Amino acid sequence: MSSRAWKLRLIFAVIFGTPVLAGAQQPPLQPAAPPLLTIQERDEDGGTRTISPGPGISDIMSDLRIQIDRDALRSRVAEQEKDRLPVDLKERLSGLQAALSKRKDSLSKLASVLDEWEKVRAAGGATPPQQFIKALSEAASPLNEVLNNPALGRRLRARIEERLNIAIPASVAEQYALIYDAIADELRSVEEELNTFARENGISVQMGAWIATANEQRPIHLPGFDEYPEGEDFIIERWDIALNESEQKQLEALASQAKELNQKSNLALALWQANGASLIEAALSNSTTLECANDLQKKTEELKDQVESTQQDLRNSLESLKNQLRDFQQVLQDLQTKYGLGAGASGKSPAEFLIGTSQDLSALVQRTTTLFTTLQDQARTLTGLAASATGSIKTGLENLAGQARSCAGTAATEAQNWRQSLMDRVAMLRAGRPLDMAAFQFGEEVTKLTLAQVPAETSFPLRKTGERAAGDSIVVKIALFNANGSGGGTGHELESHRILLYRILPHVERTVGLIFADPNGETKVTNKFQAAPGYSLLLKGWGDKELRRKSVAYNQLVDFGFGLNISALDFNKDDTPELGVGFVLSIFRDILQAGVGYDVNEAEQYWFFGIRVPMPTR
Amino acid sequence: MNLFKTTVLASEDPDSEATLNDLIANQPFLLLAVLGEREQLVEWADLLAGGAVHDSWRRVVWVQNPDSVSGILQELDQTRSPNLPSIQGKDVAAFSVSLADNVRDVVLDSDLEFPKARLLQAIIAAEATP
Repeated sequence: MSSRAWKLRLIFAVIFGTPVLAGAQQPPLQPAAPPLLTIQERDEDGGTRTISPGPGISDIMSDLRIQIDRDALRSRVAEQEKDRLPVDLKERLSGLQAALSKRKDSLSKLASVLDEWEKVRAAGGATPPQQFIKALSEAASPLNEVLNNPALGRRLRARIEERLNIAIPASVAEQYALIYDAIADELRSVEEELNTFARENGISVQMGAWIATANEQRPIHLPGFDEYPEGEDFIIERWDIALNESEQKQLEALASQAKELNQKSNLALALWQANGASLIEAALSNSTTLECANDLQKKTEELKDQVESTQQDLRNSLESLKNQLRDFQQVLQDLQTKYGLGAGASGKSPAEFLIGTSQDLSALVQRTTTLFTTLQDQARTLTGLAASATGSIKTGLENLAGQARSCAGTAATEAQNWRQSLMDRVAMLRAGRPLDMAAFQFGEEVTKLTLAQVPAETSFPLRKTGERAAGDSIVVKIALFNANGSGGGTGHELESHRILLYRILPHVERTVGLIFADPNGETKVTNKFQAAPGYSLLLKGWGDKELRRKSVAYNQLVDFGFGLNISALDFNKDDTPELGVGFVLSIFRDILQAGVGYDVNEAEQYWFFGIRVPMPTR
Repeated sequence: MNLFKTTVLASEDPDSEATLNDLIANQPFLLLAVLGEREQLVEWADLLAGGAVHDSWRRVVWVQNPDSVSGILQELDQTRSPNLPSIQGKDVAAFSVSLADNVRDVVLDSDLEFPKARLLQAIIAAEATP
């Protein structure tokens, strides 16, 4: 490696506070082919793929399925125990497995040859075309090989004879299939022989999985392989845009820091991206759900007036629907008042103000989603009531039910669109933290399975693996245990896998930090920049999903994102926070952010950048 | 005995050599030759070649008197794989000839513990190794 490359690595190591050379120091985790374990991922969007070895990458919320190649496992056992096994058993096992693995291909080629035969016959000539002869040769070779295997020939002929004694099939294809069936019978017999040998010699198989976080490693329950209890759900939300308690506290601290910076150094501190507010306002003023809800409420009121007072149940249902619609309207109207142009935020600290926008954004989405459920329920109730009603009331109820369903659809779509549009536009070269693979030891709860007991597959959802974060690892190990080994029993690792967990699918990440906003001189800000606390809602995994799947370096170093930045500015220097809304690009794991924004209250544009001090917390 | 895929070269047939030569040199068939008075083997071989119901590249030739075609057997013997015994031995029950006219398996009397399976193996050897 060149000295320049080393310097770059060192720089990265200093910046990220992580051992970038860890990947290079890791011993190879993958054994020579064929692998015993194939690990497949099924992500939350329903996509499935085989995780590539060395180390692999999975989305942090996927389900993982581990397939065990039991033929390969038996071969490994035979290899491991070759000195003690009955004569020829290993050779018989591998010969039979090899032949059977070619069955499908062999029969498929034979079928093609049989299809061609008529043409060859019609063409005449002393010798069929070379292509025909070659294809036939390829179809027959696996059988010829196994039948000429000195360890297998006689045994197989005996099985084939047994079948031919019942009937000699006329077609070539049936005869080939008969031989493959005989091979399969023989393989089962050899496997049973090996199972018996392993059982009698105290040989068992163990497979375990762990999650390795920054602070600890925990075993994971693998159904069929251990007695560990299933873990508790730990969901990592993809679209959670509300600031959590820790982020809110960070924001409060940053607000003080920004004030101090602005007073002391005349830095034009940040415009914080307060895009949430403008988004809310835009959403509210164009809301088709609100329009639909207004109309539905009006019609509900009209129908209620037509229903006679004796039909109290019906009146109550209509009243309930009307009230729920009114509640929804009220929430939206309150938000309109709060975020309408010219509305102030006096009396609030910047931190309170920003936290409020975050909560309002998530409340808007949440309320609209709830309305969808409510309207669906009400539509069902109204349809039920309509069945027993008559005349214009019946018609009115049916119409109302139809409109409620329609409004429910509108609300669902709009909630989804808002959620999307909130993020709408819109990771260091190491193979994760270094792991000492030898430190992952099977606990007492991991079952010692005989060869015959080993399941063909097992699976577990990552959400059941407890608290975890991007960059954590899943480790899977399979080993042979020999109870008769020295020291009262020894284990021999057959294969181990490491899978790094990252947030691969499109998702939103929140970052809290200081921005430095430049209002271009048209304000009371006397310095070039004003520091301001803010937070970003960054859409990630959109457009770079494949990179995230394939490259640890991309996840560790680049981790590109884009989205909204919301900040608490004070361009007019009145100590009352103003809402800043901006479009932001983020790179280098959110260390560097930059964008353009708009001070909603002061009607000023600005550009900004933000730097998050990289602290290696994990 | 009904034979459908078998050409019988009778002991006293003066055209035996010519017929066998034609089968080997001019026809696009894989041949399983059964030698001597081994009727049961011929019957099984005919069935393995498809009998009355299935047509393929497999054919059987029953050489009732190997001495009557000794010249051709001598020539064919040159084409066999070196690990195989000679097809001119007295204990040869059958042998297979590939589509490219090479001897690919030789079945001795001592190989007939599982005769049907052994004949099928000889056919497959000729299919796998032209």
